[in-house]
Amino acid sequence: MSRDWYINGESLVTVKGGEHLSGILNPVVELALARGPVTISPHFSHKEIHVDDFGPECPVEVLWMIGWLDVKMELIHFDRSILDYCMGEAMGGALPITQAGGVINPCGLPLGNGLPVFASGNHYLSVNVLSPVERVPWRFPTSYIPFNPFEFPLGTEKSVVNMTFRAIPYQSIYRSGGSMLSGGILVDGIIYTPGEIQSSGCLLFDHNQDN
Amino acid sequence: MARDFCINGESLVLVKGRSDSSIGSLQQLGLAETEIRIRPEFRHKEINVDAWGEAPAEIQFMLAFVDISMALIHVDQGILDVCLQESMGGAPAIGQLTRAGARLGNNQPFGQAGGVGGNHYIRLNISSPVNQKPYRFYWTYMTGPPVEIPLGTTKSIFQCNFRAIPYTQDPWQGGVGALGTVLWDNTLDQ
Repeated sequence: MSRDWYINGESLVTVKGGEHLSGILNPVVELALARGPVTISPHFSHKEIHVDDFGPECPVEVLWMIGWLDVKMELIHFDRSILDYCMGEAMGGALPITQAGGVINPCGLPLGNGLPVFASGNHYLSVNVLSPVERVPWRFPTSYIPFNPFEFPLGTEKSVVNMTFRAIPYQSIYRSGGSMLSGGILVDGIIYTPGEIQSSGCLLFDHNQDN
Repeated sequence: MARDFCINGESLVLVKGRSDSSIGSLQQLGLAETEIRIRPEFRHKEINVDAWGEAPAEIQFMLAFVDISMALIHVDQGILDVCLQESMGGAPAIGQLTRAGARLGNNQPFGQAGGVGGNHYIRLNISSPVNQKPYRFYWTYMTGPPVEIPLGTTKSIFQCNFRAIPYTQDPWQGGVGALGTVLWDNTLDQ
C-alpha cells in the first residue's frame, strides 16, 4: 500500500444494540451525519518500570495496560429517536428520554451484564463510521455514551449535537463456540458458552461494519 | 458541436414552485432589461503538505451553487411577490415574515404543498428561443439582496437576485452523497 491522501468520504454513523431493542436498534440503524469530521481518539495506557540504575525519570521498560477510544462527532442530520435510545442504553437500559422523561436506572447497574455483544440485556452499542470513498469503515463494538454525554443547543437555528461515544475493551464471560447443551446462549446466530474474562484477544475496534 | 456566436434570444424568466401557491404551475415572471447573468460558484478545498511548500498538491471539489441576477423590466409583480414570500420560507403575505429559522425545503420533495410546511424552493427557468439551450435551476430562492425596487416617475426596473443550491432531503443518499444531484439542466418546465 503506497502513500496517498486519506479521504474517508461521507461518514455516516450507524449503531447496533442488543436484541432487547430488536426492531429499534437491532439490526443496525442510521444515527447521523456529522457537521465536520468524526474524530477517533485512542487513549493508550502504559505503566513504566523504573530501576535505580536508570535514574528516576527514564523507564527501563514499559508495560502495555490496554486502553480505550473516544469517537467525537457533531451530529447535524440525525435521527432523534435513535439518539434517545442510545442515551437510554448508556443509562443502563433506561427508557428513551422522550418516553420516560429522564427517569434513570439504579446506581451501579452494569452495562454489559457479562453477556455477549448484541445479547438481550447487554447495553453496549456497536458504533460504525462508514467510509464510502476510502472504503475503510470503523466499527467500535462495545461503546457507550460517557459522562458529559452531549451538548444539545436549542434555538431557531438547526441544532448541532456535540457528542462523544467511548469504546472500551469489554469482555463477556461467554465465548463463541460450544453447544446449547453446555449452558450456551444464542446471540445473533452464534452460540456462546461460559468461559473466562481475559484481555487477550479483546476487540476494541475493527474495520468491518455491522449488518 | 461547432463554434458559433451564442445568442440566447428573448430570455423570458418563468418560475414554478409549491403546488398550493400561486406559482404551483409554471408562471411567467418577466423579461429583463439587459442580459440575465448566471454565475456558478464552485467551492474547492486545497490539500497542502509541507513537502510541497505553499502550493496545493491536490484539490477537492466541495460542491457548488449558482447566482442568477436579472433586471426585470416587463414583470408580473404578483408573481414576483410570491417568489419573495416563498424565499422567506412561506411568508403568509407580502411584507410579512415567517418565524426565524423557517426552512425552505422542510425535508419535502419539490413543489410539495403544505403551507408553511411545504417545499418553498422555486424552479427558475430561462427560455432560449434562439440558442435553444434554456436553463432550469432546480432549487432557487431570492437573496443577496433579493430585489431592489426603484420607485419614481419612470419605469421601475426590478433588480432581482436568485441563488440555486443543491438541496436534498438526504445528504447521505445511500452512500453516494451529492453524486448526481442536479444544480441545473437545459430543459424547461412544462
